Amino acid sequence: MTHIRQQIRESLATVISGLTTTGENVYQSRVYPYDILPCLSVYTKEETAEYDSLSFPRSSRRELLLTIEIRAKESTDVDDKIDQISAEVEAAVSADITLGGISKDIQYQGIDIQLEGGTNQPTALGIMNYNIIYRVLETDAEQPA
Amino acid sequence: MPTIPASDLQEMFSLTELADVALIESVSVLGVFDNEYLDGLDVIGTSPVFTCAASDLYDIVPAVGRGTVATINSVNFTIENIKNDGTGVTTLSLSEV
Repeated sequence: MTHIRQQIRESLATVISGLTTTGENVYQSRVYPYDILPCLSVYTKEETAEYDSLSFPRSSRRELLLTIEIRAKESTDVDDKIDQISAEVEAAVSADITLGGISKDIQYQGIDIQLEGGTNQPTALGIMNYNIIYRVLETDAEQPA
Repeated sequence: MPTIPASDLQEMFSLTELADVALIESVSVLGVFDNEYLDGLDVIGTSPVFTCAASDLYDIVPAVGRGTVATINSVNFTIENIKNDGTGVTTLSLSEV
């Protein structure tokens, strides 16, 4: 088994694979520049935890900040492309907010859009933020509790 | 800022040196085309610019402006920005159509 965080990241990447606009151009935790566009990339960079039971082993409620980054490059209307892709992502992610039972809830937190005009075509980045709630026992971060 | 003599500009933007031909409004303009690597927002790209003598550009193609199409090496670009440096040299920032 793997950490629930990894399971969530991989599950989300599967959920957003094959969308109409971005197809199979989906990455996880990519650290290199992108050349195949438009594309999506999934990151899990932050998480908070709090105990919600007293007796050992305690139950740990986690809030995972998962980001889905959308990148597109178009000669015109690159902002429209980001909006189109984000609509497809929102529909796909909300189809099953338990990810098959590993999460308690998935809450869309919003998007930050950046535009860049210094390159050979206008480029856009949309960073979609999701809060993903899951629970584990402190002794086992690989099984949902 | 002193203006560069016309003879020097002619030599700078000569086909026997580093110049390319940009077809702008069906008119050929000599200048240096540079398209170096540049990534923006972590997306791989280039930064196409065309540098030429201001007099060549405005005398030959007086209607040139933002949005004008320039064809360089068979690739169509839109002129996004025009920078005159005050010495007689103009740099066109381009984006691929």
